[in-house]
Parts: sequence; C-alpha cells; structure tokens
Amino acid sequence: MSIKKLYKEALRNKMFMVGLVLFLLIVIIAVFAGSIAPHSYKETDVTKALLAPSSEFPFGTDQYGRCIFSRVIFGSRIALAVGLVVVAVESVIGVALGLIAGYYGGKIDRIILFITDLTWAMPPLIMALAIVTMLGPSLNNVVIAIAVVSWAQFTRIVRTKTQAIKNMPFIEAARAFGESDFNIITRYILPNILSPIIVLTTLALPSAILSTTSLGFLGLGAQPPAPDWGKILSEGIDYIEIAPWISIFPGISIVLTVLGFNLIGEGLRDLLDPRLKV
Amino acid sequence: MNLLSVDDLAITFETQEGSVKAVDKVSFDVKKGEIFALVGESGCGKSTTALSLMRLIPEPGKITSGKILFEGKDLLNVSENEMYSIRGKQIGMIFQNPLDSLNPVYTVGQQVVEGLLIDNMPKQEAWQRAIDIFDDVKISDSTQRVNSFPHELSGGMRQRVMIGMMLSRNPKLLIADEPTTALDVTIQAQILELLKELREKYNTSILVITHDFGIVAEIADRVGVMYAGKMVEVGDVYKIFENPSHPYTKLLMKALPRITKNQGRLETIPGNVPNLAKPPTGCRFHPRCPFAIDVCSKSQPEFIEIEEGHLCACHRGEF
Repeated sequence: MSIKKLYKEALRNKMFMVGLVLFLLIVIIAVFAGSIAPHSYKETDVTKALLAPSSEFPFGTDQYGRCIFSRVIFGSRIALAVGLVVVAVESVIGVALGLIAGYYGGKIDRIILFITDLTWAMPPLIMALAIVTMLGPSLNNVVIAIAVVSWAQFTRIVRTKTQAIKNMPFIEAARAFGESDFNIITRYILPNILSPIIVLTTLALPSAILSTTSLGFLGLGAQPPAPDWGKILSEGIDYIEIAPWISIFPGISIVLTVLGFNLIGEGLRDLLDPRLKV
Repeated sequence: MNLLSVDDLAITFETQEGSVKAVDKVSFDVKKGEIFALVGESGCGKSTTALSLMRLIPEPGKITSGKILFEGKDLLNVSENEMYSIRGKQIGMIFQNPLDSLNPVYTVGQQVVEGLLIDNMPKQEAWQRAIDIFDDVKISDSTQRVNSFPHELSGGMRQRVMIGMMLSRNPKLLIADEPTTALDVTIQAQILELLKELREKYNTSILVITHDFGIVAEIADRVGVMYAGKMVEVGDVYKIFENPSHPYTKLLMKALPRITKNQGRLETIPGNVPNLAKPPTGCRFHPRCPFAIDVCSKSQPEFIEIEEGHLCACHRGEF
C-alpha cells in the first residue's frame, strides 16, 4: 500500500484518529511537563492539604498539600518512559527469540518454546511482584520485572509468522542466491513480519503502563516523592471519602493513556493489514 | 569438458515409514556451455537432485553417497562457509514459482543489487549493472522497472527478474527448476528463448528440470530421463527423440500431445509412480512396463551404450 493511500485510510479510521490525538496529547504533556505544571510536584505545604479542585489547584491537593495536577502532569513522564523502555526491552528479546526459534526449528525451537510456555503459565503481575520484591523496589527493577514477564507474547507470534514465511519460495531462492542465515533472517524474514510486530508493540505499551502503575500502586515502583500515577492513586485511597480527587485524576490519566495506545494499536492493525489478526 | 559431474549420487529421506531413497545412484554430467535437461514425473527425484547440487535438500533428506564434482571439486566435502560462496556465485538457481520467489518488501532492483554487493561491487556500479541486466533479460523500460516491487510485475516479468538476478553474479551453472511451469504458453516460449540466448551471452551451462518433453525438445542439448529416483536413459537430445530406448521414455513420448496427429485419446502410462519407501525389486519400472520379462523383477539393469553418447538402463534395451 502506498503511503498516500495509507494516510487517507488513517484519516477515515476514527478509532485510530482518537487514539492518535490522545497519544499526541500525552506526549506533548510529558515533554513540556515543566512548563505546563503550575507547581512543583514534590513541594509540600501542609497548610494547603486536601484542598478541593480550584483555579489555583485544578485537580486539588493531597494530604501534604502537593498539587495533584502538577503531579499527574509529571507522572506522564514516568508512565511513558517506563512503558517505552519496557516495550523496547521485551520486544527485542521476544522478537529475537521468536525469529531464532521459528527459523532454526528443531531442538532450539523446543527449548525456546518451553521457556516461553513456562513464562505464559505464570500469572504476570504476581511474577513481576515476586521479581521486584526480590530485587528491591525501584523503577529500574520494575522495568526488568515487567519485561521478564511479558516478552513471551512477542516470541509466540513472531515464531509462528517466521515459520510461515521461512517456507516461502523466496527464502529458498535467497539461499540459492548465497545469502547467509543472518541475512535471511534480518533482510528477508524480519521485514516481512514487521506489521504484526508494530501492532504488537503498540498493544504492549498500554499493558506495560498498566503493569507499571499497578506495581506503583502496590508501592513497588517509583519511590516517593516521584509522582508515579499508581502511587498517587494508592495514596489517595486513604482519603477517598473526603478528598476523592487525589485518586480520581491519576485514575483518569491511566485510563486515557491506555485507551489511547490501545486505539492506536487496533487502528494500526486494521490499517497495516486488514487480513491480519494478531 | 565437464563442468559438473554427478557420480552415483544417493539421497535418502528418513521418514516414519522408513527410509525413502528419493535418488538412487544417479550419475550424469553437464558440459561447459551445455543445456542439460533432467526429465521425469513428479516425485521421481529430479528436483531433489537439483537442490542437492547446492546442498539445500530440506530436512530430513540426506546425501548418503556419491560425488558432486563441480570443476573437479567435490561439493560434498566443502565446508558450509565455502558453500555460501558457491551458491549464487558459482551455481545459480531459478525456481518453479516466480510469483513467490522474490522478496515482497524490496524493489526488484534492490534484490539484484543485493547480490552484487555480496561480491563487493560499488553501489553505483551495481545499480547500473542491475539496469543492464534487466535489459539483457528483455524487461522493457528497465530504468523504471528496477524500482518496481514484485507484486507490480506479471509472472513472466518476475521470472525474467529472477533469471536476471541469478545471472547477475555470472554463475558458471544455472539450475532452472521447472522454470516455465507456472507461466502461460506464449510466455513459456519467450522464457526458453531467453535462456538459450543468455547461455550464449553469459557462457553459462544450464541444468533444466522439467516434466515436459516439449521443453526438452525446445532447449536441451542432452537429456537424462529419471524414473523413481533412478536415471534410466541419458543421451544426446536428437538421439533420444529419434531412438528412445527405455520403455519409460518411449511411453512418455507417446503421451505427448501432438498437434500434427489426430490420435484421439491421449496415451497414458498405466499405474502410478511406486512408493519409494518400498521400491519394486529389480528394475523399478517393471510393474508398469509392457515389455517386462522375468529378469526385470530380479536384477537391476546396468547402463548399456545403445549408440555413441546414448546410454540406457534396461534389460531389453537392445531392441
């Protein structure tokens, strides 16, 4: 499909456009957080604790008098950065293993498949919890934990796609043309399975953000005073009856972010290949 | 002089039904500048033989014995690394299905250039060479066409690209595995004509794999007829067409539709290709052979020379 046609199709795909708008909004907020936020995210002022939303504090304040609006704005940085790093790590691991398993087959395939199935069999959040508890709570360890539990979905899909492609005549032709295995994998197979990988990546991002905020909620992510959305949300739980805004606004941010990425992922899937169902 | 000399090649597939001898002691030579055709039904081992020349037989196939001498060097003793420099560079191969034989995500030009870059040709020169090659394989508008994606070209065009791609690295031997099967008849004739021309121009030997005696007549200098993993008759194309000696060859020729003769129903050979997990004893063709005698089911016939440059493996080949 030509770029022009893709562009036209994209404009017509409403889900994709809504997703795109949300996505751009979040990226802009994250990039310009410093200029958008009216207050510092960590400055406490007990005299202004638990204030309801007003023009000075659009989302109200928490029990330490910190501006929730500013905290949520800065929180987008954590959510996005962790999400992107997690997805980068898990997709590199998952795609590489999937390509190797699918291309070489045999014993290598069985070993990789076994490890993949093992990872699938564990409840991801509990597994991530265990890993973070073991390594100690910090943002870096959250990235490691989430990547470790979620690369398997990439391996599964990439492996199947690789198996389908590697039996195509053009792979045989490439071999007869004197191409090495490495070249065949990187120049013949990978570009041909790129669209499912792109779709998978955009769909993995929101789930990575969700996992990050979940771990944050449980107190295992970014450590205070870092404005992790999950963390802010959990702090607000204690005051939910008198100051519900503390929890509501980070909650809405999580929902919108995850929704935005999901819509983009779904939209991309339709756009890149209507026949393809990941 | 022989460019390629296959000697007693045997290929076995280990399957659950037991070992299948897909190719059994096949020998033939391809001379420099010659077009040699391997003919036979589906499943007779002709494609497996072709793939084995590049050591690309799919699992679980194994070459169990024999020699493949290419310019005097036995390809079966060569390291895998050296094989990479032989595939494409020394021996090229084009395939049956041109529609799927090109990488769909790159332009056809890029794919030709790719091969030239393996040979360390500078990029600019490689693109010029790609355009020249497209001219050689008679793709009109070559400067435009190098920027086309495979799906934008017709089947015949894609086969031309494939041929050009394989010839771009000047291989000494080009293997063409049913090069025209997927194409319609007028394009078939053009592609065969093109192959003949390119053989002159690039001084390449060509090994054609086909099931069609029409193609053999059109293009080949010499022919090897295979049946159930065995070579049954080898010889100069004129001699074989004039004097087919193996009963299988005779019947195959009879089964050719001919426009000059109103022969009513098309002749067929009764029976099926045998299951190679349990090949018939003696001559593998004897269960289907109208001339079979006792000895045929007992011992395998050896090659006998019918006339100069014409060998036939049949107990009754003398008549």
